[in-house]
Amino acid sequence: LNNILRATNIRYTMEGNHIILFVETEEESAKEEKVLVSQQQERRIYGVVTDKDGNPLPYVTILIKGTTKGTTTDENGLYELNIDEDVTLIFSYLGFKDYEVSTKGKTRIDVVLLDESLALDEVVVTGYNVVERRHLASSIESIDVNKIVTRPFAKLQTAFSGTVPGVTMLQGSNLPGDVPGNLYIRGVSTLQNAQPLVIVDGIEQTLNDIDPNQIESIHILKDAAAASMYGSRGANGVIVIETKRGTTGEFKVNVNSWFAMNQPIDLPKFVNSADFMRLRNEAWSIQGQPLLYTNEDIRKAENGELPNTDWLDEIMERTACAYNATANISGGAGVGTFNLMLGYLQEYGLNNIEGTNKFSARFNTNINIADRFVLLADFYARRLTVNRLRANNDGHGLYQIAWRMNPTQAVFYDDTIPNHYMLHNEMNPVASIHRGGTWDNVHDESIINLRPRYYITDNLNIEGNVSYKLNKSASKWRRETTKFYDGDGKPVTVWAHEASSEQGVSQSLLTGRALLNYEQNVRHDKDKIYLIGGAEAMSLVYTDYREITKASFYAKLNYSFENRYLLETTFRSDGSSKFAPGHQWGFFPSFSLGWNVHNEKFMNSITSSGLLSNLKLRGSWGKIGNENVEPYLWQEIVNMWGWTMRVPNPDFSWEKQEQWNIGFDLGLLKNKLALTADIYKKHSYDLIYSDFPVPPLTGSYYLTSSVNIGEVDNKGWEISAKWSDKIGDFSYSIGGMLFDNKNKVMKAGYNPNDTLIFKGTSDKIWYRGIPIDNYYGFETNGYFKDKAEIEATQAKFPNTLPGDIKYVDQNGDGVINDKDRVFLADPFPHYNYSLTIDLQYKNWDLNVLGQGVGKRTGRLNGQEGYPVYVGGSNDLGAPRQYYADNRWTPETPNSRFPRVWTGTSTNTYLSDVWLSDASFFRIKSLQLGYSFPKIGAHFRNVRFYFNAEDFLTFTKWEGLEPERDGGNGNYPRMATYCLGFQATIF
Amino acid sequence: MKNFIYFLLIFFVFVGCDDFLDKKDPTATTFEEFFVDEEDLRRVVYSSYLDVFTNSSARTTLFYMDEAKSDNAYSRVEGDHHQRIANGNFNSNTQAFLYYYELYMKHLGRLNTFIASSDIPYVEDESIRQKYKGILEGLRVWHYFRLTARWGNVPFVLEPADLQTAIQPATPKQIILDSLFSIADDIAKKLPPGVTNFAETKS
Repeated sequence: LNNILRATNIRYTMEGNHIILFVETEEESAKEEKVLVSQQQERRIYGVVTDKDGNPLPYVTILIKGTTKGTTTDENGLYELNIDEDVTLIFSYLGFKDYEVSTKGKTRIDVVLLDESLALDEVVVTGYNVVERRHLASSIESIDVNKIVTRPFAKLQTAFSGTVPGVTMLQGSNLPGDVPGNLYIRGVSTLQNAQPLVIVDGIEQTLNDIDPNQIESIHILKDAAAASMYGSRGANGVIVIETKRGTTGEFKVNVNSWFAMNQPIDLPKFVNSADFMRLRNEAWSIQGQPLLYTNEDIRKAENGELPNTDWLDEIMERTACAYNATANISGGAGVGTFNLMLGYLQEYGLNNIEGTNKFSARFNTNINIADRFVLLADFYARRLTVNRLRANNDGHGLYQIAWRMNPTQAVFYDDTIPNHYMLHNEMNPVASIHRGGTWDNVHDESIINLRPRYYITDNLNIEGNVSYKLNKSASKWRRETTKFYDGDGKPVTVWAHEASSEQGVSQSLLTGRALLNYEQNVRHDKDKIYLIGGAEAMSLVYTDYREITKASFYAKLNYSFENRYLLETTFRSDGSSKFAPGHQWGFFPSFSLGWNVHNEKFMNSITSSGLLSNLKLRGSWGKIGNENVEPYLWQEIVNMWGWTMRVPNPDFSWEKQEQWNIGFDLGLLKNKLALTADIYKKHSYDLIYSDFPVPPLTGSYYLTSSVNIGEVDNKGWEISAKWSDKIGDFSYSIGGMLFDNKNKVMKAGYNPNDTLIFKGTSDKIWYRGIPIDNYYGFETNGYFKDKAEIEATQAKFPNTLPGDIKYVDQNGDGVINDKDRVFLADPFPHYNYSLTIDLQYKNWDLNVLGQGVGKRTGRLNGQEGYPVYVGGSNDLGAPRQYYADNRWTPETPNSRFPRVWTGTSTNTYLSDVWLSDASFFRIKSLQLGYSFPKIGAHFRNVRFYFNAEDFLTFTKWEGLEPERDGGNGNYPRMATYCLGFQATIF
Repeated sequence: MKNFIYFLLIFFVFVGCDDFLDKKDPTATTFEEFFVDEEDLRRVVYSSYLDVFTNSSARTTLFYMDEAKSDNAYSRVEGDHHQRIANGNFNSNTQAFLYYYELYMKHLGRLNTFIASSDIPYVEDESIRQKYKGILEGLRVWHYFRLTARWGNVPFVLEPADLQTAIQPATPKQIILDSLFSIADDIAKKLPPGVTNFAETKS
């Protein structure tokens, strides 16, 4: 009946088995309303609630805002309700987005509720307001939160790997408590911290420890038009996160829990005891030194009469695992909603001491104080405890020590003394675990976030925001006395008793904001205007007296003309205390234009045939800034001897960035095929280099200062596509993305042709045209065959021996020195791609995420590359089997690697020998799930899932882990296998 | 409610003013705060000697090590940088040059600042100020002698320099030397009696 009568003025009511039809005239209802209003009497509101397709929705909760009064719809989606005066009604229904409407001037209110997932997809949260995606003219991506809550990771960064075009994250290890890797949006355009700005419910936060189960949406603002709303903080891109809130009229508990086990995937294979002796003898023989291992030793090692220790096996005492339990308890009524989100995550590392646990509680409330006045009051508390070893407490140190052992060394003496550890160069990693003591760190975060919002009219509201965030940390460490004895049982070393603790510097961030938000359909609903104006102030106070303050004013306008032409413009002015007086304020404007081509009349034939459902062209330009630097860098410091320790720089100011972006969104065949492509260029200038060499006449001690110098260009493109379809019970979608970013230094100093040499390293350089990070080293031409060849070569390092690297003398001056270094490659990931497959058949679902890097050059340094540990005595550790198999010997003169060596060697300079192809493709995540729509009376959407992460990798990388360069050992990268379940209770 | 809104607006407009953004490094001392009395004068004179001439544990500034940087001797210790220089393996940022050029140049920079501000610190006896000032000026002359001896033409600056003014072209060696002798004469004349035997040698 609803469908039939929709277009008419005939209405019906149901009384018993009878349907009573009546004609409604506008005058009638208006008159009726007038009388009722004037007499302040009870008045009847009625209508029908349907979904998008016009199907009536039964049992929809309808509540009068600010009260507990209300009603529900009947089986046919109809409702009626008596009110005394004009109120706001809240319509809410499971799986649909809440809808609020004022009764002013209305008697009949028909409501169409939008599917929650659909609604989420169709709007974009920019941090200050919510804009319909079709009205958007800037480049904003989102992450499907439902997919990440069931992936077993502890740090939210992992969710960004392979899921967003333009965003890269390389993960080097799975150390509990450690950030997996740095996130970059559209390349690196600064020498300072290049991490994107993260805004959670309007507050600046770090991504690290946010529980994905508490997240409603994640949006990534990539281009300047979107990010300029964050002005001076937006140049590295912005991630806007909204947390979950309660739903009116519905009490429910969502639980999600998983248990995961880890398996190392990048363990090095070092040579065994006998081979170690042979290779050492080989090195000594080439170096003309006496051989220490006799044939008898080698024979004994082969027969197992001498130790053959696998040190990594000794220190990895258990299978690393983790479990996670979360519960979101939410509900609401006319007076408001709440959502209490609790999460607990425990990780156990590879030895019995290391691990973390995290408890977080978030309580989000919407309080309808009056009909037009809402208060969003949110509270958050988190405690993260990280347990580490006292010695080498960064978590990787234990592995570095283990790598420096060799297989001929034993863990214990072979005698009757209990725990008789053998120390090698004063080290024994097994003793470090059991006798070295523990180090416990606690990191607390608590937040109060209050957002009163007053609706002056339905279209205009004013919002205040006061938030307070407090971060505290503390650590304590303890070690019991241990005595070490030599082989004769005589004491050699004592690790003395020690117990101490330390309080970290606490930080408190106070943010205040006032916002005026206007949203209105104009020209008979043909156009829509969104307007925001606001101001905010921020104060970050450290307990050691440091303080950073920021102030901003901003305005943003979105205008959609007949849903065809879109305009978006932002003006923001930012001031920061980090910069010198007179240079504190920056102005950041941006403009973008969009064209919804599919809404043009001339496209009618194509759109109505269903071939083209969406075609939007976008173009934007904007200026944004970066202020992500340490405070006070411009201020003078003089020490007690009159030395200038920091040169004052009265011109010290923002890093600036101008960026343009052109892109399109295409939807074909009723949006079965969705395609998005973007190209962009970012020009960053006035880059801050905090260690820039200054002229000695400044009389400063270090002769470096923080200077706005340098220019960098980033150019890139992104393309992503997704095909989704449904065949009977089987629905599927296949998606893919490919993107690349290239960066170039445009100015390295005061003048475009200046070259910047870095203090402390010659492996990197800056000049016009070179990438911001680069491998600047020697080209090589094979290895020296024999003594005769060495003698015949003029350009060589002193003490060169057969099997050493033959460096190319680029300038032909007969000397190998820094002037022969050239640009070899850049370390950035290029041609990043990913592939997603989502399949659903009845109650089964399967999701696969594959991620790859098409081109990357990795550096094989440290013990991953060299046959010894380089540092100190240069003779610790054993070569990897891969090195041993590919080393130079007189019989294999064209080998991959040079000879084996000990001691100082000329082979360790950065050269093309130590660069290797680190491109890879890996199955990032594979998830199989089975859902029960309902179990018993109280359990809904029960889903069991199995997830495997990082378990399959294809790569030619000669090191251990293609997402990481070489090194001297670190906590392993792991594959994770997890079992979990999700359910909604009540 | 309206009052609350007005309050917020006013709060933000005023809070946006610049003094809200003026934050000083709580750990930093400026030169003005440092250079107060006679003791500070004495300290800068002391450190001006110690850092270049009299620090017996700094190998790089020892007189005989300076000789070793010539071809007459050769140090095998990596930290002495001799091997690096012999191999030509250096650039403008190589640490070795700290002891050939930058050390003198940066001392000149700070001596310029001390001399220009030498009237500021409080002293009981003006002759003490003259003595210290004379020593600082004398050291400046000595640094220029060393610099011109090794490098020839170098920037010749006698005023304090900031980031911008510290970039100066080189002045020809002869012009510098010509000025140095007359400057040295002036210094000696101004020194209080008993500090130097200048008067005796002149007569």
